[in-house]
Parts: sequence; structure tokens; C-alpha cells
Amino acid sequence: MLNHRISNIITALAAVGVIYAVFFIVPPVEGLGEKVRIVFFHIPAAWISVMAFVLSALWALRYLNTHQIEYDRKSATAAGLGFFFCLLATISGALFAKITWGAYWNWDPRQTTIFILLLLYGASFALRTAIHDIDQRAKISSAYSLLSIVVMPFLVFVIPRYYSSLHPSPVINSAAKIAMDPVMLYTLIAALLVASALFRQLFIYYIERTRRRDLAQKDSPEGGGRL
Amino acid sequence: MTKQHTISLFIIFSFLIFCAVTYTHSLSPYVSFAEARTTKGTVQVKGTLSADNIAYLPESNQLRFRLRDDAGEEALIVYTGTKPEGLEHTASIVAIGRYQNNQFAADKLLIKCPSKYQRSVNR
Amino acid sequence: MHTKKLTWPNSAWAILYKDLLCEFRTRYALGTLTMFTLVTLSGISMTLAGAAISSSIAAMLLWIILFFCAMAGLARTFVYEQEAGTLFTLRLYANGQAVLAGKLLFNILLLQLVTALLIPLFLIFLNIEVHLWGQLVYVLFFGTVGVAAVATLTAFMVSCTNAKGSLFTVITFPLLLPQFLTAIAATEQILTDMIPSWNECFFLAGYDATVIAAASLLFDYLWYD
Repeated sequence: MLNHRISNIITALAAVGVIYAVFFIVPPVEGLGEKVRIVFFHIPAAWISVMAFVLSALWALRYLNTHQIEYDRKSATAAGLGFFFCLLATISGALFAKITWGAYWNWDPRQTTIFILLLLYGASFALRTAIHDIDQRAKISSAYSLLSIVVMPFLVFVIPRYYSSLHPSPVINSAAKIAMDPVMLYTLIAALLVASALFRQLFIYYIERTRRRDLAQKDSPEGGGRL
Repeated sequence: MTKQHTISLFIIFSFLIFCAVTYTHSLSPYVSFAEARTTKGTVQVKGTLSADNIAYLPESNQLRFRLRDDAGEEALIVYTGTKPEGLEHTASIVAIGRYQNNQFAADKLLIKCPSKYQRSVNR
Repeated sequence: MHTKKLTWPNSAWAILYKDLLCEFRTRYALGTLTMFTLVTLSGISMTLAGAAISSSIAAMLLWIILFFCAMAGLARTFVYEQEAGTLFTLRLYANGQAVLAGKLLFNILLLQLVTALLIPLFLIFLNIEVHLWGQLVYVLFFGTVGVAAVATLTAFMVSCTNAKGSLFTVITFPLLLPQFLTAIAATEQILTDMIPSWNECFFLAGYDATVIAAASLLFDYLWYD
């Protein structure tokens, strides 16, 4: 518990540092000016939502192989946080799109992909809430999570064929040349690390909370029957 | 790992690799002007502004400029509508429309993000 | 009374045969689906009132009708077993893979039948001429097989929940999107008399294989407690 508190403090300090760097150290960009600062929130949020999706599926696989409810709890928590970050990435992306391309939404491949990621997250929550039996719920939502991770790469391949992209080519592109100002690149890497740390802290917090709630339900005689 | 597991995983991964290989080659939805000339339907052409020669005719609300596609060919783009903001400063422009009468009639103009995040020089 | 244990292809056939027999006696699914296609199709055709529509919209409408038709018809794949109280017996006697294969074959057959009914009506009502019949049949066949494959697995998931019908569409749609987009694009090309590219055609078949493989991997986990 003490360890968790210390890492909380470190994460918070690092977050403050990165926010300071984003607003005061990063120079304005050619063509975009001050608006470039959204990138440092948008890219980490998108990265976390994809990472959470993969983590959730990995824990789902472990649940199906071991049948320990602990893994399902982890899978569900990762999915919940992933959904939150996915929402953040979608909103910040829409704002950024409005500023640079002139419209909040124009079905760019990556907008489409993140929208479908939202749909998949939403569908898995709908599925979870519709099942009451704990083991049944764990089993079925794990299977759904695995099925969606099989489908996701194909979406990534298919969508760019039918929608045109306005996104810049990847920062680390095929020529392995980094097309980014060094200050911005370091800030972006720091922002990604801080976002991952933030995800970890939130994850630990929520896992602990659901574990305590589940234990309380199991211990109290009247609470056990309700669910 | 049973035999059924192995076969299923083999199918999934081989198809994944197939998609990764074929689809990264044809990932781009853009065509060149040469292709646009032979296609009847709506196409997307990506290119750069060839010179600072954007002509805007306020009375007909028309925008005319020359675009150089990735193959190096230039063509006249005609677009009816308000001029998108920051047209002169962009790395590249995507014109969606069709090629007719030796010019490209664009229904829609899209401005790509600068592909380089570099600090601005005039500040 | 059978005493010998059936091998799994035999029990898959047995399940398919049982489902076909039930369907033949009640004509529940086929009747509903035929009416469903008729209602949506005439709805679209009436509102259009003879106006011509572009091939991209026609392709989209065709697949939307097929998708929702499948959603209406396949949701009950396992739910009706559950309502009749036979799901438990099936679980005791049959191998998971056999059940999946039997149900999948039945769903594929059902969707093929509905497509065969829908296509002539669709072309007549919307006044569309098709020249590339072989390609159209190919795209429709592999497209609907993919729908059936995903829907069979999600139908089983849905049979364990409290909100059956409405949830089915919600959880199936995102999983079908890659197939759906490719099928719409290919159909659009066929309707404009262009031959779809080979990798689009291969994608439709390959996606079917992938989804069936994934379904067979996951179904055992769901079937056995």
C-alpha cells in the first residue's frame, strides 16, 4: 500500500512535469502554431486505449486457461480504463481534426478505427452487464474479448483501403528517419511513459477496489445471495 | 495444444500475414493524374502545390490552382466553394473529384497535416 | 436407443439434420426471414418510387438488408434450444465442435436460401442489371458464410445473457465490419460492371476461414463448464 502511494506521488510529479513541458517548453510548430500541444494528449491517450485492449485480451486468455476469477477482474478493469482513454483520444482527436482539417469528424481511417474500437469496448460492456452469473460472465466476456482481438488487425488493414487518410505519415516512418523536432520527440516519449504509468496506477487502484468489493459480497451472508 | 488448436492458429496467422503483405502495398487510396484520366468515377489525387498560383474568383466562388501529383505530373484543379484555411502552407493536398475536359473538378479538398513536426522558423 | 458414440462429423450431421427437420416442420425461421426481406425491400422500393439509385447505395442497401435479416433469423440459433430445454441434453451428449459445425452449416444454408430469394427481388424492385453473375454469386456466398460464422458464436454468447435479441446485433456488428466493408466494395464494383480485384475476393474467403477457425478455438471454452 505504501509502495502504491509512493508510485502515485511519482506519477503525479512526472505528469506535472510533462504538462509543464507541453505548455512551456515545446515550441510552436510550422503551420499549426500553438495548436500542436493537443498532440501530446491525443497520441498517449490513443496509445493507452490500444494497449489496454491488448492487455485485456491477454488476461482473458489466461482466464480461459486457468478459470481464476482474478484474471477476469484484470481483463475487465483494463477494458474499462481502455474505454475511458479511447473516449479521451476520440474527443481530443475530433478537436484536433476541427482545428487542422476544418471538421470534427470526416471518417479518416484512424478516426474510423478508433470509433470501431469504441464500438467493440461498448459491445463488450453491454455483454458483461447482461450476464449475472460471475463465472458465466467471465467466460463469455473473455471469449468476446479474444474474438475482437482477432478481428481488430483486419480492420486496421481493411479500413485504409476505403477511407482516405489525412494523418501525417508515422513519426518513425519506413525510412527509419525521425521527422520530429528533438524537443517535441522527447516530450512525446515522456508523455507516453507518464500515460502508461497513470494507467498502471489507476489499474492497481481499481483492481484493489473491485477485489475488496467482491470479498465483502462473499463474506456478508445477505450480500452473497443478491448477486 | 491439440491438433485442432494448431490448425486454427495456423489459419488465423497465415491470413493475418497475407493481409499484412498485400494490404500494405496497396494501402494508399490515391491515384495519379494519369490514372484519374482513364477512370470514370470519383478518385482521390494527392499532391503538392506546384507554385504560389492559387487563383480565387469571388464572383463564381471558384478556386483554381495547379497540383503536382506524386508521379510529378501537373494538372489544373478547379474547386467550387470557400477556400480552405491554410491552403498555401500545407505539405500536401488531397483533391477528391473527377477528371474532365483537361482539368480536375474537385468536389472536396482535404488538407493534410504537416508530416514533419518542426519548430516554426518565423518565431 | 443408440448405444454407440457418434464420431464428430456424424453428430454434426445429426444436429444439422435435426435443425432442418425442426425448420421444415415449423418453417419458423425461413418464414420470418422471407417476410423480413420482403418488408424491408418493398419499403425501400416504395420510397424510391422508381427513382434510380447509384450502385454504391444499391450495394450498401443489399448488404444492410442481408445483415439485419441474418440478425433477425440467427439470434434464435441457441435460444430456441434453451427455451425448449434441449440445450442441456445437447451439452451432455454432443461434442462442442460438432454442435458448432452443425449449427454453422444450418445457418449458412438458411442465409444462402434467403439470399437466393432476396437477390432476384432486389434486382427487379430496384431495376438493376447485373452482367457479372459469377462474381456476384461468389461475393454473396463468401460474404454470408462470414456472417453465419460470426453469428453462430455470438448467438451462443447471447443465449447465456438476459437481453437476448437486442444484444445480438450490438455484439455481432463490430466483428463483421471488415467483411462487411469488403463485401460492399466488391458488390459495388460488380454492379458497375467492374471485376473486383483478386485480393478483395481472397479476403472474403480468408476472413471466413479465420472467423471459423477462431470460433472453433473459442467454442470449446464456452461449451464445457
